Amino acid sequence: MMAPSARRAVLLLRGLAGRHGGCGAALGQRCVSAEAAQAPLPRPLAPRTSLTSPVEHTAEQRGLWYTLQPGVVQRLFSQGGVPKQFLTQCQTFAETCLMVRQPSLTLMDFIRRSDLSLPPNKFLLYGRNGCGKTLSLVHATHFLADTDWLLVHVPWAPKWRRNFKEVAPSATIEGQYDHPLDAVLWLQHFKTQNAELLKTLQLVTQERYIWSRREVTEPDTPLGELVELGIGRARYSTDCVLALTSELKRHATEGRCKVAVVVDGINTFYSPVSRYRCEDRTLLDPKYFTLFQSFMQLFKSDWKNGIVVGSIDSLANEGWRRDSHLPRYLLRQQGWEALDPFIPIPIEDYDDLEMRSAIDYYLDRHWLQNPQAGSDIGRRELAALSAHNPYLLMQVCRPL
Amino acid sequence: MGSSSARSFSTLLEFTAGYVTSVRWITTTGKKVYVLDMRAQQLLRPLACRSLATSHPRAEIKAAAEEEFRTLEIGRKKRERFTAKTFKPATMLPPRYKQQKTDQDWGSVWPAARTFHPATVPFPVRQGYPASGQPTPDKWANAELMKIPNFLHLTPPVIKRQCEALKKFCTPWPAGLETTAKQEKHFPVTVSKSSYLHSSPTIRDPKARIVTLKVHLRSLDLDYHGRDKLLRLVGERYDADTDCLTLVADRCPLSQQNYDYCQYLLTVLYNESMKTEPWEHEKELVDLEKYVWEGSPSQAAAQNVVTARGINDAEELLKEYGQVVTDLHNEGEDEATVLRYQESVMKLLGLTDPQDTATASEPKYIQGERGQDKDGWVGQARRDWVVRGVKLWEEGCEGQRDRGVLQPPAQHHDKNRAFALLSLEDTSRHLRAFQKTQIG
Repeated sequence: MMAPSARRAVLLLRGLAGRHGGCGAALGQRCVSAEAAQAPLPRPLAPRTSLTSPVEHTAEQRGLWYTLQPGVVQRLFSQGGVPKQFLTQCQTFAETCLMVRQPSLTLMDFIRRSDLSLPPNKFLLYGRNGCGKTLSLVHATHFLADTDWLLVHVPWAPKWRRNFKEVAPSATIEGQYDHPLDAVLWLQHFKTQNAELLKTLQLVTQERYIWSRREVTEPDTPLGELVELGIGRARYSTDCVLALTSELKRHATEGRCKVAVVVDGINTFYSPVSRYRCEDRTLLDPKYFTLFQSFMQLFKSDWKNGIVVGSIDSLANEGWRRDSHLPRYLLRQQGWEALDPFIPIPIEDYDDLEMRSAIDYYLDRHWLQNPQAGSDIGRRELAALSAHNPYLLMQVCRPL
Repeated sequence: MGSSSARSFSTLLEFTAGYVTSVRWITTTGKKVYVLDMRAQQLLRPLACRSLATSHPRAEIKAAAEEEFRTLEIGRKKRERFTAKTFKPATMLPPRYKQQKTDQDWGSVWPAARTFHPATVPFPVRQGYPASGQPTPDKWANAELMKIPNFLHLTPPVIKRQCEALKKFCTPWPAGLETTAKQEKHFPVTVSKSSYLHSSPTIRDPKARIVTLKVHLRSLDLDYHGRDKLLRLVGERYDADTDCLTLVADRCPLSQQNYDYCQYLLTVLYNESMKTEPWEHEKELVDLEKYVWEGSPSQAAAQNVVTARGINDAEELLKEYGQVVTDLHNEGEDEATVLRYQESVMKLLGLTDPQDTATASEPKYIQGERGQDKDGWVGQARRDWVVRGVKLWEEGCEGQRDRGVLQPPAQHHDKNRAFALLSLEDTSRHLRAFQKTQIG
C-alpha cells in the first residue's frame, strides 16, 4: 500500500503515467513516449582504458574498463578464480573486461610499497555479497603475475572443504587426510600459472622426498619435476603440494623468489566442519586436511619475500555462520589469531561514477536493449533496482 | 322464480342430469337429499345462488337486459406507476459547533472520555487512507476517528482544573526528594506488584502474588570483581541499557512471601558477589568476561612485527594497537572499529599512505556514544566475545547509521499524508483559525 504521491512516482518511473498520460499498455510492458521514439538516445561508448596491464593502473583509471587478454585469462584462471556467471557474461561479450576500482588500486599500492625483507604482509578484502571481492582479487592476481610474483593461487578454498572430489586418509601422515584429485588439479593450475617463471627462476628442491621404495625425489631436482610428479601420481599429490609450498617458503626466505599467496575465501580454513565423514560417523575437522595445512603454513610470519592476499567471504563459511560480513566474525578466534595483524580492505557497492561506468559498458556491449536504459531515469531505476550492488546489477540487466 | 328462469332451470336440470354420475343419499332426518358431484354443482351453483338471492323480479329483469359483455383483458393490466415516496428529511439542526463560542469552557462541552463526535468537535480533522483520487476522509461519519481513543477530555486547562480539585486530598511531596537522582540515592530499590479485583464468584487473582524488585547496579557498592560475579549470577535479569537489575518472584502463593523472597535474594546476591571463592583463581582465557590484549597471541604477533622492523620506541605504537584490538573485541565489531583497526595495522606495518587512498573511499565513521561506566567497560558479561561481537554488530553497523552519522532524512510535511495527527498546540491553533473562518 502506497501513498498516492509515491504510487505516482513509481508509475512515472515506469512511463505509465507521464505528463502526456500513460498509454493503455498491458501490465509489465514499457511504454515508450512519442518523444523518445523520434530521437533515440545516442549509445554511449564504454569508458575504457587501453592499459592492459594493471601495473600501469593509477587513480586516473578509476571507473574505466580494462581488457584482459585471452592468453592472460587462459594462463591465470583456467581452473577458477573468476566467478562462473561473470565468465559466461564475458563469453557473451566476447571479451573479458574488468572495471578498475579503488580497493584494487589500494591493494596494488600496498603491494608495491611492502617491504619484502619483513614477514609477509596480509591484505584481506571483505565486504557484502556481490560487491566485487573476487573480481578485485582477479585484478590483484593479474597485477602480481605481471610483476613477476610466483603465484600460489587458491581459486575457491571452500571447494576443498565442501565439494571435494575425494578425501582419503593419508598414507604418510598419521591422523591426516588428503585430497588426491583436488591436489592434482591444483598442481596443474600452479603449473599453468607459473610455467614461465619456474623456467626462469630455476628453483630446485632442497630436501629428499621418499614417496615409495622406488620413487624418490632427490635434492636439487627442479620444482617443475616435483609438480609433474604430483600431477602424474594422484596418490602422492597432496604430499607434493605440501612439499612444494614448503620449498617455496624456504626459497622465498632465502631470497631466490618472491611468493604471493592469493586465496579466495580464506576464512574457510578456520571452519570447524567439513563434509567428510570419518569411520566413526563424525564430521572431520578441516585442520586435519594436509592440503589445508600446506597453505596455512604460508600464513605464518616466519618467512620473507612474501605477501598474502585473500578475501573474507561469508559464503565461504557454513550457513549458520554468515550473519555478518565483517572479518573478525567470519574468521573466528582461530583465524584471527593466525592472521592478525592484517590489513582489512573494505569493498563497497558501486558509487555514482562506477554505476554510470557499468551501465555505459552494458550499453556499449548492446546488453541493455531497452531504449530507455541509457536515459537518466533509466539509470536511476537500474540503480534503485540493484541497490548499487554490482552482482544485483548484473542480475537485473540480464532480462533487459 | 320466473317462467324464464324456470325454463332455464329445467333445461339446466336436464343438462345436469347427464352429469350426475354419483348420487349419494344422505338421510339424516329421513329426508332424502340428492348430492351432486362437482360438475353438476358448478352448473347449478349460479342458479342456486340466484334462487337464494332475494331480489325483486323486476330488477332482475332489468339487470339481465342492461347486462353488457364482460371485457376480456389480454395482457397485463396497466398498473399505475408508483412514484417513490419522497421522504422529506426531517429539518436538521445545524451542527453544534456552529453555535459554540470561541471562549467556551471546553471542559463542560467534553467533560469525560467520549467517542469522537464530529458535530461537537469544532475543528476540521481528517483521518484514514484516501480512496484513489479522493482527499483524506473528513471527520463526518469517520469510523477511524470514532474507533481510536481521543483525549479531548484532557486538554491542559481541564487537567489543571482537575489537579486543583485533587490537591486538597494530597500530601506534600517529601522534601529532599525533588530530583530523580535524590530519589534514587535515598530509595534505590523499587518494588512493584499488581492487585486485581474480579466481580465473579472469586475476587482473587493468582497474578497478584507476583512481586518485582528493581535496583540500579550503580546503587550497589560493588567493586569490579563483585560486579562481574553478580552479572554472571543474574544473567538475563540485568539490562545493560538501563543498568537495572530486575528480580521477579512468583514462587510463593502470597505476595508478602514473594516480597520477602526478593529481599532475601538481593541480599544473597550481593553477599556472594563480594566474596571470592578459592576456586575462582582457576579462571581461564575462555572464561574472561572481556578481551585482554596483554598476553594474547595478537600481542605476540605485533611484537614480532615490531622486532622485525627494528623499531626501538615501539611502546606507543603497540599500546595504540592493543587499544584498538581491545575495542574491536569488547565494543563489538562494526565498520568503524574495523576501520580503526585497519589504520592501526597500517601504522604498525609502516604502510601509512600519505595520500590516504586506502581510506579515501570510506567516510570516517564517528563512534557513537556507548554507555560506559566508571570502570571503563561496557555492558554485558559474556564468555565468548565473538558472540558478543555478533550481538553488537547489529547495533554497530545499523546503529551507526541511526546514531546520527548518516543524517536522517529531513522531516517533510507531505500534504497527502494519509494519517494526519495534530498535536495539542496545533489542534488549538487550528481550532482558533477555523473559528475565525466561521465567524468572519
